[in-house]
Amino acid sequence: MAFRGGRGGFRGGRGGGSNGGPMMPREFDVKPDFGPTEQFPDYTIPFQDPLSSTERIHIARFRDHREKVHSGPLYTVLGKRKGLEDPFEDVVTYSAKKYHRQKRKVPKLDSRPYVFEFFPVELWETMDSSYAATGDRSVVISGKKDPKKRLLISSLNTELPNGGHHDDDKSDGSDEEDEEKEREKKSVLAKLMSHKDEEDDGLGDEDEDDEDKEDEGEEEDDYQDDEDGDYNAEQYFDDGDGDVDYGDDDGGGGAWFD
Amino acid sequence: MQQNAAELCTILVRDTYGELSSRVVAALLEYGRSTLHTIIRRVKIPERVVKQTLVVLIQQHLVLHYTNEDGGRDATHYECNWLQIYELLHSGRMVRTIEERFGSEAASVISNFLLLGHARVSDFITAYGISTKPKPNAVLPNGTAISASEATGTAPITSAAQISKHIVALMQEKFLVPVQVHHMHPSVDTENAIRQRVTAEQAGSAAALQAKTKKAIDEKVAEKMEALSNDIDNKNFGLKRKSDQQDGRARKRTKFSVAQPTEEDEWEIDGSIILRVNNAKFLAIFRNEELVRWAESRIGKATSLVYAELLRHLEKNIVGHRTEKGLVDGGKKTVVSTLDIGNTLRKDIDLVNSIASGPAITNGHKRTMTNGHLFSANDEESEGDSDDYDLDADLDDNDVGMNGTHELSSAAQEKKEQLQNIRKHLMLLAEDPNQFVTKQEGSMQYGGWSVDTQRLCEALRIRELEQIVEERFGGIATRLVRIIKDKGKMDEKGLADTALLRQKDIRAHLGVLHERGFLHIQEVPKTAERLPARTFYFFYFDEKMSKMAMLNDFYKAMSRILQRIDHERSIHSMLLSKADRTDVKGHEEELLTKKELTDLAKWKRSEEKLLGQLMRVDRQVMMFRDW
Repeated sequence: MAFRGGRGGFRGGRGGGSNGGPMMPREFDVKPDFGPTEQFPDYTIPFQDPLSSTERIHIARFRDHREKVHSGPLYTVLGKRKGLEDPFEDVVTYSAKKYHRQKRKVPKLDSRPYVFEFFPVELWETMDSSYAATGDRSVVISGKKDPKKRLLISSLNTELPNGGHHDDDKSDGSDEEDEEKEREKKSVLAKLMSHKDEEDDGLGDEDEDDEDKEDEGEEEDDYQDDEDGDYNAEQYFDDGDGDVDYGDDDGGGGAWFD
Repeated sequence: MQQNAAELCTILVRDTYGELSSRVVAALLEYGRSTLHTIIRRVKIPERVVKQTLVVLIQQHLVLHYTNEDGGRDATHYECNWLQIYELLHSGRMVRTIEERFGSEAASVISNFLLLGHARVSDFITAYGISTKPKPNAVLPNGTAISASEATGTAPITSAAQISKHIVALMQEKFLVPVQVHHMHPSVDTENAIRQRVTAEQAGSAAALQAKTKKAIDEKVAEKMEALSNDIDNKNFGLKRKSDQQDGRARKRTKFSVAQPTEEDEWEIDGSIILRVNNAKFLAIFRNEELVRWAESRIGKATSLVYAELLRHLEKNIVGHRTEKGLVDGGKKTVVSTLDIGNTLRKDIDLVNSIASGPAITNGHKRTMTNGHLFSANDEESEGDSDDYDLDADLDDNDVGMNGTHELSSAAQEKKEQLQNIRKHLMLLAEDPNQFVTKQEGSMQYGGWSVDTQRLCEALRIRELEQIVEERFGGIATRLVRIIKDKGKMDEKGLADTALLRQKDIRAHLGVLHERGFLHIQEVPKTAERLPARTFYFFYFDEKMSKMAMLNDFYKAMSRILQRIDHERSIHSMLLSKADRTDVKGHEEELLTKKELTDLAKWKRSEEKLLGQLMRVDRQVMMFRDW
């Protein structure tokens, strides 16, 4: 209410000032310029000093670290909402399914040991299914460790950046080859480095299945109808791996809860 | 907690831990301390998923929690630890720092602890033993020999003993610190709990309300809080086998005794303790690196190397506690002798030729000074001053004992010369207007040195602030800021007189500076009516407020950089997802077209540039906030 005449009041005030009215005896030597400003005023664009080699190493390590977190169990990518997928880009193709890094929608928690007293009690159940009301209490009671649960250890990429871009891929190449050997030993390292689905077999399969079911229930199931019908476009591309449950999920992101 | 900082933290978490975590963090930052159900209601994510996300965040120390036990039902509150989120930016630099000092194996230990948040030592060592090959020439069950380097590429740590050796080394220098339960709680809650307990002990009656008792309680609480943090200060805390205050269940879980004593080290790790990376220690190291860079720009390369060595000796004792005021460390009182520096300084630094011998007068003066000091020191030695014992006794022993062998005495002579040269460099540092080091008189023969980091950082901040003002608003603005800082509160007229400028000329500058939060105005009316014309306007400089204003700008700039990176990534998303394919990775040259390869290189370069800028802004943030 009080501001109804705001604009007019503003003008009035300004006028009073320049006229040197009784309220504003002080003269203004700052003359406001009401003309339109230039559309592209002159502006000196600041340039970045070239990065020093130390900085570049820091950045390389930072990227490397981030990459490791991303390929680890804690990184999550929420898929696109239903109806917002790009009909051209987001179609699941055979190659996408086979070669692309699988995206996680929820963090994978059950593969490592925890220090339980550091967490609030209400989260214990989430961290270890044996704390659940219906869970297997034997682990809790006996205090034994689940030998399957291990910390993930990854190797450090100590490569120094060189030239225009550093390709941190050389070591990855060798890792790729190692996978075959590592898998035999069910190495945790290999599991971290590779994003393929075959690696599941080491880690408590029953639990995973349970989780998968729950997860599926929770997210909106876009393909309910398709599933009921006899034509399932998703299955068309199925290469028979079977381990990844793409078919009935929302397609785009690809649920992967291992 | 500023709005821009909240935005930055959200973006940082999204960048590192993904969208889910960032949504929970955003809700916690926006609404503050909340219970699980409040979070669920705010982020609109199923309860189970929120719980999982909270586990991730707590594991990484990004979220603190506290369960209030009294009352009918326990209510757990979650709180975001935003300073820890900010530390995500430093991961690369931390790993690199350790790599430089301890080698790549220790760096990989640090990197893994960063990835894991906190971890029990025994678990960590077991995991290492599994995921790396046992011995360089181990033989697989099927009879094929494999080598360690072949197996893991870059982590040739071979045995548990080796890892625990690294961990012990890192723990002794406090790069890794034990985590206790109270680290997972907000410090306010810990303090409240202690206060409650103390109050109950002190007086169960109404007497507790009296001022005297209150004071006593306050003191006791402060004491106990200090005791909690002092645990970590203890040099070998957690290194010997000692029983912790863990409850029975926890101990049962940790009965796993893996800690293997290493032969060279008398210390062994208590396998049951839980370790994490000590971010505060790294902040202290980054600060020292900055000081070294400053010394280099003022004096010279060789001197800065000597300075770096001195600071490195001081660092050993730093644990680093982060308080609201900034970093607190015990480095101020510690004195390092020239001899210590001489023992560890790299030999290939040219100490002699890096100081230009000036005109004969000053040079001669200096030489007689040092020589004079030397001779007097030698004289003193005969008087049996115990403090002077250090070096000359040692060297003279050599001289006397090996009198026949010429080589050794010349080595001693060399050593002496080296120490004198180091001393010269240190004198340069001490004589600098910024007083990079403070000479501690008396105690040691070639002098003892200490560094007042707090004062230096203050100077560093002022210098940076003036540079920023200069860059943004020009020379006149800098002059005004400096005058106001020097004189205190001033009105426009006085300011113009002091600055030797016309009032008209400085007005615009003052306006801009005030608008951007570098200067502040106090109004003092001459009359009761508070007429603008009859009012003094005093400009003043408030360091705290301008610091806040600047930090706000920094946070905003950093968010924008990260958002820019995101945007660039989305532009190249097709290419990047192709390059990320498991079959393409490592075979880019064969599988990508030429155009794609150049685009990929371009993207990597531009991301690197943006990240580089991010790190540069980060340096300033640390300067104004942490150091």
